[in-house]
Amino acid sequence: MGKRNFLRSLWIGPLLFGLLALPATVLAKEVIQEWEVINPAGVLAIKPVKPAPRITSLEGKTVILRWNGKHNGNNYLERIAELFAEKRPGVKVIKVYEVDKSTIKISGSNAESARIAKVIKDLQADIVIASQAD
Amino acid sequence: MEKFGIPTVTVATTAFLGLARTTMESIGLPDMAFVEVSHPMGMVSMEEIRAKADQSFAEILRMATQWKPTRTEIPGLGKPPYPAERIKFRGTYESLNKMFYEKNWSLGLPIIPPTPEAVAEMLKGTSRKPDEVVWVVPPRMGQLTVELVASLGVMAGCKPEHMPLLLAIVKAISHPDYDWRGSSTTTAPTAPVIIINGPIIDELGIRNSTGALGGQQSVNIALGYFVNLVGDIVGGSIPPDPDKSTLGSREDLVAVVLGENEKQNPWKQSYAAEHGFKPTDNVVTAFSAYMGTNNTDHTSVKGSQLLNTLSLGAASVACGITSCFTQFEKPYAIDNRVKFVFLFLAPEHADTIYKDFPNKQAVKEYVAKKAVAPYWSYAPEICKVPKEFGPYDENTMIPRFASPKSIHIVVAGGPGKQSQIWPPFTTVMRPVMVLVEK
Repeated sequence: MGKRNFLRSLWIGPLLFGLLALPATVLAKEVIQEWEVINPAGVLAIKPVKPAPRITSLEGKTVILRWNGKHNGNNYLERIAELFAEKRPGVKVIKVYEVDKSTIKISGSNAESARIAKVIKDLQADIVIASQAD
Repeated sequence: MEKFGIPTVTVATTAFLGLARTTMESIGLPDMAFVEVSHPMGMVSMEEIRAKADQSFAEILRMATQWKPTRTEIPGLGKPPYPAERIKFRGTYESLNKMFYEKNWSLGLPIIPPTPEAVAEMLKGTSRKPDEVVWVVPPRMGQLTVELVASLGVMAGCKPEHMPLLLAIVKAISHPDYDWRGSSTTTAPTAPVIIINGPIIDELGIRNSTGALGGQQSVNIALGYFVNLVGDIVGGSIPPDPDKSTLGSREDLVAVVLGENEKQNPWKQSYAAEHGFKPTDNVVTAFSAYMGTNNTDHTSVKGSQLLNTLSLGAASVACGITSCFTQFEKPYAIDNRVKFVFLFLAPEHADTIYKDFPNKQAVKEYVAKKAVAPYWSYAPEICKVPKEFGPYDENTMIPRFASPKSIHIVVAGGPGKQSQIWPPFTTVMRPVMVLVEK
């Protein structure tokens, strides 16, 4: 073997040995890369609404009790109505679910919510107490 | 009511306060007066309910007269919907997926990264403008543009040629009669069901035969995955708030998508054609469903025998929430719940029925008549028997449906004697049918 070949074998041999001895996972490591992706969430389309002006006293006011049809929501509101009669007799309580049975539902749409709201508003409501149950 | 200038106090249970707040934000209110009561309210005794009312009355009075909002605006409003934000990220494919999941931009399964290049390629499948807003998805009220339909399509593994179908699916599920908001925030294990009719089934390789609702159905799965990506990411419907699914179902991960097996439909008239579409039309039918059940009748030889076992399934599926004498054309009410049912008939089952019932309408009439259940099996308060039915007691068999209009038939699946029965979510008005635009 010539001197050049001998010298070459000095570094090729260890190099080959090193590559073959490396764990397979090191060679198969996932590549870190630069990504550009689109945010898929979409921006919100919500029109801000101001909460309605609050009342500071219930005396002489009309309280509407609204039930969405969920089990026991009406039973809860029945007791609330009794408590108003006992403890706040100056408050007029209207159970809208007895006045208009079409309001007994989960509205399911903005249009239906608006319809139910109109029914309640037409009762001259000063405040609405709603039971959402489940 | 707040929009009308009438203040409110909303009573919600501990477990549902999160959903209540999400709903509040989705209608534009930054804050509301809530009174929290211990969960649950439903299915507890009268004594317990009255006790909850007694305990919360003082708080109701306080909230009615002393509450003031603690927040005056909702962050993140007013941004234009298009173009969607571009995000730069450095990492592996695995870490990119982790980032998407942590931001609620995925459902936990791997996604294909929606790179601008991939989305641009996807948009070649439609002539609609990418900035068009096709849906504001409740309950989060995210704006779904055509660009985002393409992005979510890429993520799900859809192809550019699927774009007209994706847009038709969005049109169907966004219709008010579907009630997306209700069905994506309910405690029930609901799932979108998408039925496809027309030449597009063969053109796109939509499966309608063996295992169409199972694995290895790449197009059906991609379409179903897309539907839930829209609902969970743009609509924000993730558990535990606002998606309140008590246990949930896997169809909330990949929606139920199938083609009708029109070639093996012995009645020849497809579901779409039955509803006025041309056989050459490509049609999407969508409804939100409670979990379906299986009919595994292997021994009925006569059509009526098989329809008897199918009628049992039709009467009892979604038990506990179904009303009696439901009327298909009337909207949801306490006594009009789950007012139709779909029968996905395997071709062998369809053939057995067809031998004795060559007319599909006769099949529907038979099932509507035979889908009965004992009065005791209906949950309290939701089965109102009409006077003209006559006297009954708890053992009297009471019909589920008032008319054959409630029975919907689709032929689907491969060889085997396995049909499926799928009921709609309780507030669904009707199956929504949309023509796929070219």
